[in-house]
Amino acid sequence: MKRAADAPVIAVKNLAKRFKLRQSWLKRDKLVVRAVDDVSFEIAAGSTMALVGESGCGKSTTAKLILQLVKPDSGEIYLNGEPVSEATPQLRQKVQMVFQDPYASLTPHFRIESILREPLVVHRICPPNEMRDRIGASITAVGLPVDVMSRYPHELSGGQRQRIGIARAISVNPELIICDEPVSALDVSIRSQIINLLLDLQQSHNLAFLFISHDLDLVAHVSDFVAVMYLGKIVEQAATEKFFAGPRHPYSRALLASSLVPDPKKRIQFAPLSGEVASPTELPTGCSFRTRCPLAIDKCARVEPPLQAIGEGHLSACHRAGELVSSEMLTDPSAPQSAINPQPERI
Amino acid sequence: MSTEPIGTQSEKLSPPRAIAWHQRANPMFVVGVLMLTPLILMAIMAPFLTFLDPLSINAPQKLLPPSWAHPFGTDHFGRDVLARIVYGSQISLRVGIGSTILTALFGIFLGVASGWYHWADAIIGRVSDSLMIFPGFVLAIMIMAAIGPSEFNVIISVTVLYVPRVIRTVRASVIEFRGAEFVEAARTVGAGDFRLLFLHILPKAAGPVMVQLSFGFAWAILVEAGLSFLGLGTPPPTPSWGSMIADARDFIRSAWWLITVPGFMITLAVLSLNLIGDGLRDMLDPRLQSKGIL
Repeated sequence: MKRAADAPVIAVKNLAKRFKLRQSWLKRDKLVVRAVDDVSFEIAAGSTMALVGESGCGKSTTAKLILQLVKPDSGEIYLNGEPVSEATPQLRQKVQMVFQDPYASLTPHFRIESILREPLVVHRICPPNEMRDRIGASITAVGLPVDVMSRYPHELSGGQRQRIGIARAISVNPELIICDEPVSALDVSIRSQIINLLLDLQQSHNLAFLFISHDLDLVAHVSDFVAVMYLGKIVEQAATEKFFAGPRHPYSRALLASSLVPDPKKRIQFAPLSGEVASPTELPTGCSFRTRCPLAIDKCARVEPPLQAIGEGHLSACHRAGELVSSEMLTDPSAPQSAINPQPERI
Repeated sequence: MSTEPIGTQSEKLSPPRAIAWHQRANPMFVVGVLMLTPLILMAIMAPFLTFLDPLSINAPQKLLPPSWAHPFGTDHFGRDVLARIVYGSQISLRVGIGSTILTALFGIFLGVASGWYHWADAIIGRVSDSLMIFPGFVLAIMIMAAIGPSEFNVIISVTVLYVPRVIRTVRASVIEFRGAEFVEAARTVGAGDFRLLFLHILPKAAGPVMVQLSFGFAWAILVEAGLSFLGLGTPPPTPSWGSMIADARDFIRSAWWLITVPGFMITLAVLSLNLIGDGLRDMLDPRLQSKGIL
């Protein structure tokens, strides 16, 4: 395949998807949810980008857009520098997904062998007489004994099923694997096994990972880059070390403050967020985070902050990102909230 | 690497889970099968069960009560009722099996289409709705009046009558599973519509469809008998259970065996198939367990 030497495996530019909610066939005006709004990023071979955010912020929709399971409204997707606008066989081979729920993502009436045979048959990876060996090899590669081939998904444990899901993803020599919360449905005791398996496979196959998660400790461990999403938009994007050293968006700070760190002195302090996530159908004017932001100022209600560079490779969408440099600024969570968080105007 | 235990290979592998058997054979199902089996055997072995011709007319021997020579007596033309019952079972089963196969073929194909494609749903849905608003038997009479009485035409009209139910069952399953994560996962690895539908989704509909088809089989026997009773089904002198009852109307007072025996056979066949259908349904989904008669 021709490929520009420096083209990232996947590049996403200004991706957007709006879902129309029809309230009733009598009402003409439809509610519009901006599930994904102007999202751009790229991932190079062998590296991992983590997509972080609360549930409902558009992480999984972004994954589905890349996979062309959902048609984007606008924006471009480039696979190895070539634009992708429909589900071509090439896309289906080069981009694979590991699903969150290993119970639901394996066809229940298929034996493991049939599950793993399907991608090989569809993409004509190898002649039929070699398939069994290849299936056996990919089962061994994910650390399972070959005799699981003749079993049904319900006969395996959650961890084993997720290994089968990973085997299915790598069996067609993909270049990008989208991991949609690959371990959040698993027992804590086997999460690290699955994560290490993924990292091993990434190294040996030089895979690019899009790692969707809300577990920040896990993200710090696996990813090279972090993008934080809030209500369909990326609000902060940075290399992992930079991000964890000093997040430059109040939402990122709040997320980090909410994750538990064994050493309380190392824990990032931040005023706790008030209120709920704004309704995605009725986004606030200006910055969509301002209704919960302890740093909100008048400007936030008027002008939507653009995602802009605030340091080398560090993007943030906050008017006050510059003030967030010193980490002491907001270490006192006892500061009176009403002073910095005037009741936001609702529209 | 993996520390999770895995069963030994010698362990017995479970059967395919196309149908999730939640429990062992249901008593209704067993009784239904036990009642249906002799009927099927009777149809297959008809020439060995009776050496009398169901069509041979023997006027002097008419309306004889049951005896050793004629266990179920003779009718008004002196034909042996046992022979006619035995050969009549062939018709009932042929109509039943024929229409069940046709119903399954059309029902699955159209059901899949209407569950998968919105434009097809609009067309197929409206057509099957308009078929279902007619009382079933009235529609059967209309169709038979239009295309004329014959055994094959009975099969066609039963199929037209019953196919909307199968379409709905299949459609419901397709809609239920088309957004399932395992279908999405299969799509992600590149499976096309055909694979998704026929390998991933349709096997999940196998159970409910089998239940529908076993009720459809019973329906077919009943409709065939009813149409023959009205003279719209299998034309005489072919021994259909329905036309036997029709002929026997004039002799209810004098020859009770003429109407009782075919009536009993129809009841037996329909009851056994309904029991099988109910039993299957309960085996597939114990939550729906009815407090049945067994």
